[in-house]
Amino acid sequence: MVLDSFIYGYIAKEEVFGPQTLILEEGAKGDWVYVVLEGKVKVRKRTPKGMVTIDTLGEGAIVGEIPFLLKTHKLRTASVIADGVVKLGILDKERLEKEYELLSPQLKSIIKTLVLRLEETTKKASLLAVS
Amino acid sequence: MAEKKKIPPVVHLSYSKGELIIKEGDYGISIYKILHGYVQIFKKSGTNKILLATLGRGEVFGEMTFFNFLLEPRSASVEAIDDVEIEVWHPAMLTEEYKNMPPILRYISKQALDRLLRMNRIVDDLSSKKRQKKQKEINHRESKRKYYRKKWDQEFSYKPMGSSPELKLSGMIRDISPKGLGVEVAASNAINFPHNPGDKFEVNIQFPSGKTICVVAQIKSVKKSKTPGSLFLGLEFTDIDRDANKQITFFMMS
Repeated sequence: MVLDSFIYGYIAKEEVFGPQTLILEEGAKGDWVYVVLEGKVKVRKRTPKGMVTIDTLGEGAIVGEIPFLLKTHKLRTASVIADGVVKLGILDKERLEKEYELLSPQLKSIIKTLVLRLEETTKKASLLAVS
Repeated sequence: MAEKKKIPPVVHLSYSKGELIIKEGDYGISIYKILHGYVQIFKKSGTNKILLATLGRGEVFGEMTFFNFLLEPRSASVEAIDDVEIEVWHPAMLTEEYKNMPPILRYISKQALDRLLRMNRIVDDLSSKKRQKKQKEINHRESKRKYYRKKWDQEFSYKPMGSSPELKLSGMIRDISPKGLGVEVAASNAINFPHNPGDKFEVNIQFPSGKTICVVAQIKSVKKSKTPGSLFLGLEFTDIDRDANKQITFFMMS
């Protein structure tokens, strides 16, 4: 995946993580949004029967957008782990927030609903995956 | 808010308990926000109603069509479960706004949508696999279930399903179980009427108590009998009422 050029304008900082590093931890506080610049990450969810990998994301993937868009709890909804060496870009949250706030309340509600459904469905999928 | 924005048109609607707001399979473009009351989201699977979610005040539904750009029909039905007040948004201006919003926000939303569709597929796949596995286990258990067969030598009458009421073929029951019969019939019976696996018969069984039952049974197997000129049929009950079932159970215990 070739990264769209507009994304670079939002990258405030780049960070490199070694294999198996825990980048985001489910349940931890935080609402920074990341973009995968190089390598791959694994998305893992906690279930009553242990951890389950529910997705693998590569270059260009946005990570951590759920708490940013939901705004209700600002807690990470899944863990993200480096699958090999991975380089991430941290997006400029202030700028992102400013632009998001300019959207009409309706469009914001629709995007929020989408993210809410994503969170619910991911949870359902991870529970089914271990049962 | 820094700039004055055009607000998309909003309409208010009321629904009473039990009214359908969205019907699965229809093409609709509106997006709904609940102002008051509760709705139920469900899918139909055959005659079953599969409940997906219950939503209340402040929650939005009908948004999937918006992200699919109206290409797909409604994926589920929505019904009012009490008196509901709803705000309806026409998506035209919202679609316009969505297209013109900063590319980074569109990029993030598009990825969330793609991931949601992928997760939906995973959920569908895993739940249908789970259902199949369960069904397989049930089938396996059923086929493994061994029924005690009671030896019995008893005359009985039978006739092919749907044949004339006067017709009466006869034979000998050799064993009986709650699932079926082992019977011996004259091979000549099979000359005029087919006796092949799958063929169904109305069977009359008379018990020593004097009670008679009539059941429908299907041929599972046909073998040559040890008695010359006879066939041995394995019959399975396919249509049996509760009373007949009770009679057989009583007889088997006696």
